[in-house]
Amino acid sequence: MKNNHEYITQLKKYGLPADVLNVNSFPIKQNTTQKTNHLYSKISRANWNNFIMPFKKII
Amino acid sequence: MYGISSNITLTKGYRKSILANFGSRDIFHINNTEVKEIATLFEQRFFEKEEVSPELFQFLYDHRMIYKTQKKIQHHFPKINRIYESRHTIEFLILDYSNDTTLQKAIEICSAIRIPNLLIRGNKNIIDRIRNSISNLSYPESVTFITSNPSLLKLKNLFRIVIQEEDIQSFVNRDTIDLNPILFTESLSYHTYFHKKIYIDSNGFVKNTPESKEVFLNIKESNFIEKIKNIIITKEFRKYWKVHKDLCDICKHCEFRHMCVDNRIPFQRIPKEWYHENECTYNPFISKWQGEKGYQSIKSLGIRSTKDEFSSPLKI
Ligand code: SF4
Repeated sequence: MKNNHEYITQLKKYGLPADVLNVNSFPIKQNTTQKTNHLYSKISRANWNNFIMPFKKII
Repeated sequence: MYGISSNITLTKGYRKSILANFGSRDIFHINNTEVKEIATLFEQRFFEKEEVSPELFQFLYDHRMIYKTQKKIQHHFPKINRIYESRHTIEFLILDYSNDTTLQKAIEICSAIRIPNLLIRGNKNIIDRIRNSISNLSYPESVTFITSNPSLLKLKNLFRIVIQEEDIQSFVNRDTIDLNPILFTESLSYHTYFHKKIYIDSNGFVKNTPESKEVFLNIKESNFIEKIKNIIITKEFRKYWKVHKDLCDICKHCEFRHMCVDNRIPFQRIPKEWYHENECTYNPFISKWQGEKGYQSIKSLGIRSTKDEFSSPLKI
């Protein structure tokens, strides 16, 4: 069985990326924490570009 | 072959009729003598050019009321059934503003029962308070603030909050007659004033509308939201909802019956016959508005519409 850890340290020694063959077997860890980016705030209705108005004389 | 557009409606009155086009918002107030031919076309719906007089054809064609089609595909244009459907049990909540507690409670009611339109009558500047209270809520969708305070009227409309001047004219008048497809459809089977409304007065009493006499509840009581939920489904609360204009004396002969909102309380004589105690500002039998030259009241024409009978010397 291939020793992944040793393999990566060896490649690093020669200044090569772990996934040198580009086989996607070593996914790059994402260091940045993923932001949940809501375009609208959670409480607002996404369709607030229209709202109901009285369509006739009420009072 | 030609067909009549489904956007066109013809409402026949006693003396005059309304030919209206929802698409272009054209309204023609025409004498009944000229309406006969159009009425037969409405029944037929499809016709050949030769069957219609050239002037009428040109008129209908110029106003885009008819379109050319083929006989083969006639069945692809079935008659439209106008049925009013709404996803809200109550559409309008009217509040006479007195204090912040009732305002807050009214907003709570809107939110709980899902009432899209909140209308507030008052002269105090509470716009910011309203804005803060509704900003996190989906219901009420819009707030209409009705006031006669000139300094408030100078303010701009906000998103979801509209400021309107109080209308002090008589309720039904020339200016409030409106060609509106939703109103038109609603008026075919419901009373356009009482339907889907709830009113809270300045003391917190809950009624159907400001004109109604029956009081159902006070929002100062505990557990008022649950109580209102139960009240709005009762027959008593919905007493006038289905009294459409075709059931009312006089109004059923009026050509504006699908275009007006009338705040008079109807009274029942027998099932399917309703009358009003006061006259409307429009007299359909002479087709004149109050204040117009030659106006006569309905009573002076000898027409009686009372608790016991409806009688008229005119041929109706
Ligand atoms: S007579 Fe009746 S239908 Fe005609 S405008 Fe007055 S209230 Fe409306």
